[in-house]
Parts: sequence; C-alpha cells; structure tokens
Amino acid sequence: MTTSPAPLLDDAVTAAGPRGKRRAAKTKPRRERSVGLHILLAVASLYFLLPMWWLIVAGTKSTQGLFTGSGGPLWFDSNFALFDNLQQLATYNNGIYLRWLGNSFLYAMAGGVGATVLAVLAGYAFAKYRFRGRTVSFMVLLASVMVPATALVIPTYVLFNNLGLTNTVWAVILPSLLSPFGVYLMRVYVQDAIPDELLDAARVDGSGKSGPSSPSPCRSCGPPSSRCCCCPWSAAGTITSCRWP
Amino acid sequence: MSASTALETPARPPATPKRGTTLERKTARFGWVFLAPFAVVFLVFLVLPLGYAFWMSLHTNTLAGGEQFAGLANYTRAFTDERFLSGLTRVGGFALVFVPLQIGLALVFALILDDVRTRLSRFTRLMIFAPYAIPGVIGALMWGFLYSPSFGPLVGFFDFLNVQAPDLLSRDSIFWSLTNIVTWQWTGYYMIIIYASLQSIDPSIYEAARIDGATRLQTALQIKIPIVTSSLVLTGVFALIGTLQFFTEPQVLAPLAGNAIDAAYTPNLYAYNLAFSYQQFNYASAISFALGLMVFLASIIFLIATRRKSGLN
Repeated sequence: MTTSPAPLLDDAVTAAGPRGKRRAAKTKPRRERSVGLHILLAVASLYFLLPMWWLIVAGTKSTQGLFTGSGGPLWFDSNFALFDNLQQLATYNNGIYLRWLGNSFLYAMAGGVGATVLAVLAGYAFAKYRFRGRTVSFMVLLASVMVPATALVIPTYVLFNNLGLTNTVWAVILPSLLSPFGVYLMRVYVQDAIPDELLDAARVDGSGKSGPSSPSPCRSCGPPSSRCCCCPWSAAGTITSCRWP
Repeated sequence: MSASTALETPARPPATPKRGTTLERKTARFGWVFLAPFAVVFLVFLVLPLGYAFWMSLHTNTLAGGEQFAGLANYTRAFTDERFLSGLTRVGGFALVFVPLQIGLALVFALILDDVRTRLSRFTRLMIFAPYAIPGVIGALMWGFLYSPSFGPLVGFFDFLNVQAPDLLSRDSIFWSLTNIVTWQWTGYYMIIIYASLQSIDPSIYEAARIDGATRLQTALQIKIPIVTSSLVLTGVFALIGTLQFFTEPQVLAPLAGNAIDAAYTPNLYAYNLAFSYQQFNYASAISFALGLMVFLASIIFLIATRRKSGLN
C-alpha cells in the first residue's frame, strides 16, 4: 500500500550517468538493515511455530516413541505412527470424536455468522445514527467486557434449565452470539470507513426514511466483517472446549 | 486513523443542532432498530444472568439456615479473605508484566511488518497470529507438554549445555512459564489490531517525512507510533482486563504443576473452584463481582492516565 518513492529517486539518479552508479551504491545500506530485521522475523516465526510443530511431530509418534523417540522431541521417530493414531481417534468410543468435531464446526459456524451479523448491525447503528442513549449504551457495552465470565456461568445454566434448553445446541450457540469486541471493532471501522457524505447522497437519491442500509455500506463493511468473523470463530472454538457445556 | 479525512474534508456549512429536524430525529430513532437484535441477546444473556448472580451474592445458603438475605456480608468476607487478596496481588503483578510486554512486542512486530514487505514478512505475520486461532486450552496444554521433563525438548537442550535443567513448572518459575504462554498466545491478536491501524495511515505522510530526511527508524518512532496511539491504549485496556481475569492457563496447568498452582491462584480461578468444587455459589458470585469491581477500577485508572494520548475524552 505504501508506494515507496525510492525507486523513482533511483531511476532519476541512474539516468544521471556514471555518477549515478555511485549514488545507486549508496542505497545498499538500506538493504543491509533489512537483513537484521529479516533475521528477527525468522526467529519470531520459529518461536511462534514451535508448539505447533511439536504437536505435528508428536502426532506421528506412538506412546512409547513420545518418551524414547529416536529423533528427540522435535523430530520424527523411526516408527511413523500417524495413521495408527488417527485410526485410534476415529474409532474411539464408536466414532464419538467425529461427532464432537461436527458439533464444534456447527457451533463455530452458527455462532460466528450470528455474532458477526449482530455485531455489524449494532456497530453500524452506534457509528452512524445519533439516537438518544447512544453514549450510555456504548458505555454499558464496554463495561460488560469487564465482568468475568465465571460469574455468568451458573445463572445462564439456571436460565437454560428453566427454558428447557440444556443439553441442546442452543445452549452453546445463543450465548456465543454475544460479541462486545465485535461491536466495538465495527463501530470504529464504520466511523472511519463510511463517510457521512455517502449516506447523505444515498438519502438524496431516495433510499427512504431509514437511510441507506444496503448495498454500499454493506460492501464497505466486508473486510472488517470477515475479521469480526474470525474472532467469534475462535471464541466459539474455545467456548465449546470447556466452559459452557 | 482518520488522518486522511482530516486532510481532505472541505469546510462544511455550520452543522444543524444534534437532534434538530423531525426527519433527523426520526432517522436517528431508526438506530435502535439496527441495535435491537444485539440488544436483545445482550439483555437476555448478559444483563439477566448478571442480575441473578448479583442477587445470589447478596444471600447466603447454609445447611442449617437455608437461603438468607445477608446484605453485603459476602463482600465483606471477600475483601478480608486472604486468598482473594493474595490472588488479586498476583494478577496485579501479572498485569504489570503482561500488558507492557505484549503490547510492546505487538507494536514492534507491527512496525516491522508494516515496513518490510517480503514473503518472509507475510509468513511471519501468519505465524504470529496463528496462536490466537488456537483455543487457549490447547495452547496451554501444548506448552505444558513442552515444559515437561519427559516429553519436552528443554531437557535435551540443557543437557546439551551440560547444565541442570530448571523445573519450569515449579513454584519459583511458574510465573515466567505462564508469562511465556500468554505472550505466545495473545501477541498476535494485538499485533493485528495495531497493524490494521498502521495500514490505514495515508502514505503521503511517509513521502513528506522522507523528503524531510527522516530515516526509517525515525519515521517509525516519531510518526507511526503517535498516530496509532489510540489503538495502543485500546489494546492496552483489553489486555489489562483480560489479564486481571486470568483463568485458562492456570486452570489447565494446575494438574501438571503439582503444588505450584493452588485453588486460589487467581481470583477468577478461586471463584470457579468455590462454585464447582466447594459448591459455595453465593460466595463465588460475590468474589466474581468483587473481581469485576477491581477490573473496573483498574480500567478507569488506566484510561484516566492515558486520556491525553487516546483521544477518548
């Protein structure tokens, strides 16, 4: 995105003749500094990659190989047991793992899409409409992030018990539709990315009392919506792994 | 973030008062329609359970007396409970280390990745963000295995250096072991937020800086950082809130770490154990609300301290 003016300068300079060669040589130090940064980036990549690499390698070892593997903890064992392990996983308890995987996928999709839709609508409302109580509502929203979720678990369970929804998919999907971070991100983005002039123009073109609600704001909302979708996705993944059930 | 609009917006005619014409008011009310779905879910799944939890925290439930209204007795007990207070001190210590470390690293990586545009930088960006996509429980488990003397690579590494391997899950080193896990997990998330802010800066500013003779480092320190300060403050608040509610990693590592992590290691963990191990729901609710109050106070203090920088006043 940043169009670097350096190539323009280089072109102008090399066009200047023999002196241009010496000038071109002066741009080399800039490349050398990048080597240090690249090394730093490579080290960072290795650090962040390490546990995932270990996981992949450990997945290919048998139980004994984990302790006394020939390649050490970070390299493959001589006995490649990946397919045995996968088979054991798929047949454990009559294939319940595949069911769990399907459940998680369902929760992530439903929760992710639902939370994104709600967050986009709410963020758009906060950013573009000046209704009464807007500031107060937003403060309440931010304050809700500060409450530890452990306080909510038992009352939510009691609530679902009274509704008869425990032990159903709704017990996980409905709470995960709530994404205050998503609303905040969308509000910030919509405020900056969708100029009021665009909405005024659409209103002039006759899009009704409600103001334009589609398609141009929707199209502009695309990129942050997908980022918004990522957060509920991982949130849904985490939620299903321990707390709500 | 809105530097470009600030440079380009022509002078507008004087704005009409906030809720002036009837049309404007009617249009503004339509905002509630957009907000309604989220508001419903918010009320039912947050405000309602929270209200019930608060009501529970005002009562005590004993075998002898049954359910009794106890006013603020649970809260008095909470704020004089030594386990709660030591847990609070501990998460305060965590916050002092985690927040600057994570935000600092996120800022450094975001600046580097904004500057260097090669395949390696794109790969690194993905690698730094990937741990956020991994659920916290899994991440903590993986690191638990990496720390273990039987499975992990660290024993081999220290043997190579002929040095006694430190026990990373012992009481002395559990603090830094947890720091490592949390940094690994969350730096990418904050980095992406800061990176997105950096991407939205108008490039003509960089050209102007280059003409004025600024080096890359000067551009980074004196131009980019001030522009993204509001993002930094916001990620700082989120990091602070998250750290004060520290729960997942101690919970997952507790079986592996022996006696280094006790049941009241952090206040959130204490509330969880009170509710699910000791069945003291009322006191657990009071602890949760007391923790929420502390988080609220800490966030207010943080925002007041940074109000000039964040543009939130």
